[in-house]
Amino acid sequence: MKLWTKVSAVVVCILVLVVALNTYFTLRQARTTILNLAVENAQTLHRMNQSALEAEALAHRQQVDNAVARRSMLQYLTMRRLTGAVALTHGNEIIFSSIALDTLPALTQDDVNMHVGETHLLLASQATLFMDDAYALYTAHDISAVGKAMRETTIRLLLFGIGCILLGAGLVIWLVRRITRPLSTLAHAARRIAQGQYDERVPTSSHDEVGMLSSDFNAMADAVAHTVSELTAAARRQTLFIGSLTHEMKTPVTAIVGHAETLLFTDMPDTIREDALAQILTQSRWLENLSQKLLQMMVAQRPIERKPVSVADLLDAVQEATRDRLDARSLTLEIEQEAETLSADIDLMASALINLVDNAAKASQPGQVVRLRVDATAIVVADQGSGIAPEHLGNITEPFYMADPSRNKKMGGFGLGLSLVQAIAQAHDVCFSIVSTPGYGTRATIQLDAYK
Amino acid sequence: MKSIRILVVEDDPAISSFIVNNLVYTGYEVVALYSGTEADTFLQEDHAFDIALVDIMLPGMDGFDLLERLRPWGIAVIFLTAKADIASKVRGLRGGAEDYIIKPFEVLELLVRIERVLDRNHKLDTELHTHGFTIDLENRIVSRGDVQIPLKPMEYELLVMLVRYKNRTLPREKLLNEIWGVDYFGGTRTVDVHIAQLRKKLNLPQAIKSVSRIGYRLEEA
Repeated sequence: MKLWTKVSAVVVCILVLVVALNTYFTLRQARTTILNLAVENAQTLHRMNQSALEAEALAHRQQVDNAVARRSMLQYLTMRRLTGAVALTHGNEIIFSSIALDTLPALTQDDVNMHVGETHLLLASQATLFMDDAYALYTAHDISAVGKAMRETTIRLLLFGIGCILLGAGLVIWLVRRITRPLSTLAHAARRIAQGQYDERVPTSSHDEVGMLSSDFNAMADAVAHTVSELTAAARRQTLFIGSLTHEMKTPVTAIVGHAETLLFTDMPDTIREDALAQILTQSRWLENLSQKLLQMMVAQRPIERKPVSVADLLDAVQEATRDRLDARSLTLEIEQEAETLSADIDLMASALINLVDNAAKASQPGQVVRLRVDATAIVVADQGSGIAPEHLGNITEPFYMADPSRNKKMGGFGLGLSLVQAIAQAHDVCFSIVSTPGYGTRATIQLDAYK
Repeated sequence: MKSIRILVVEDDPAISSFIVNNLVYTGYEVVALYSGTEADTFLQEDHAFDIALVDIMLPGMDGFDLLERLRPWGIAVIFLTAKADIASKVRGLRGGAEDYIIKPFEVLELLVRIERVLDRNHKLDTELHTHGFTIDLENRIVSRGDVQIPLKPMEYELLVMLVRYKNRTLPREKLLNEIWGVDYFGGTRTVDVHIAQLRKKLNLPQAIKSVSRIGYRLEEA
């Protein structure tokens, strides 16, 4: 059931309950009050009549000395001197009655007894007249006005109550719907976002709980949109990478298949057969190196643990790993160490630096110098080699990208080195950049102090 | 088949070498070059080729551009490439290439496609010879001297294939697909049966050699 229905229903129920209880108790109280008032009135009138009768009887006691005379006198007095519907009895005998009753109830020992009917009140009391106390005076009072008043009041109260309830219900429903309308806006927006429209947002006008929810919702939608676009971009990069990888693998596989078929299906001279076997071996090793590089890339993409690393140890590792290639090309590695420690994963950082030094070596001419400098702010690898043309600089960290494919392949390169360095830099949360001038040299920098 | 000249333009030496070896083994004359620009320069001097096998991704001038250079000389082009996408294939074939082979490929597949292109361009010999037999390809007659040897259609096709690719092991599945077609439901038993028939009819029980678990080959010194 909808929230606004629930809330409205509860409020209306409470309203009805309150109005009903109020009406009931008010009416009861009113009835009692009015009735008491009527009774008091009647009692006053009765006492007045009684006093009047007793006074008249006393005044005329000389004139009547026998029962008959007394009787007539009383008849006359009752009829003339008293107000309202009255009756006078003496024992069982009715002396006078203007009360429309067949029988009058007997008097009890109480002073005044009272009978309350629907429309009439009958009061009775003992009267002592002419020194005889066997008289009973009855007065009847019309209290139908009470009932009438009660009925009118009831109707008015009920109408008013119903009016209040309807008005109240209307107000409540309007108010609750107004408050919950932003909720349905939120629901719509959530639905659209779920369907992929990540730029959907809600207006945030009020400063109440719903307003706060709306602005929190927007913040959440921002986060979702951001994450989605990052994931999409990552997935796209992944697909491209796999595409490139598959492509790169086709060449060695073609060579392996071709030479293997040659060996299996033909009868060529020994030199050719030996060459075929050698090619199969070379290409297989190349594939193995490629898979190792890929593994390194995967490791670089996992969350890493940075520990304090001895820069001296790091530089030693790099020197050790690059010595052969540098010697083979008659190159010198100049090392500048201006820092004692740095915070890194030593294996990954070493791998990155080895890659950079290798690249520098591949680009350099015999006799040139490759410089490796580590200080508190950055690690720099610089060479004096052939450089990288501006049109390639933007792409060189793309996996498998090779600015000069033929030269690269000759040296057994995959085009993965710089993308690996980039991945390692990212894993360390630092910036990696390359500056190069064709003909002069290249400078690769891992900026340690500027975090992403 | 002896006087056919093939130009191979492929930058990866590992791939170029096995292609060249197999083409020479099959009896073609081969020139191997390693870049588009190298090929372009070479063609100015020598363009007497019947067919060119061209890699698309070459340093310098790429395969598509080289195609433009080869066509005026009437050289049929077969593209060899790792690019398997439809767009490249369409571009290649629309540009006028005769065929488009995707790496990695089977050597025999390459040879068969070359044969088809040559056949389309009427460069193949009309006769084949082996072990004293003459195969008249136009009339589909096999004879030894004056004696005609009647062969069933599939036997004939099988013989032609064995002779064309003599001294090369032909796998059973390959023979089945090429001769009986890829839709053929029967098994490779039928190949064995037809080989047996051929051996009997031509009386070459040894020359038509069984290569265990793989297939057959016609041996000729």
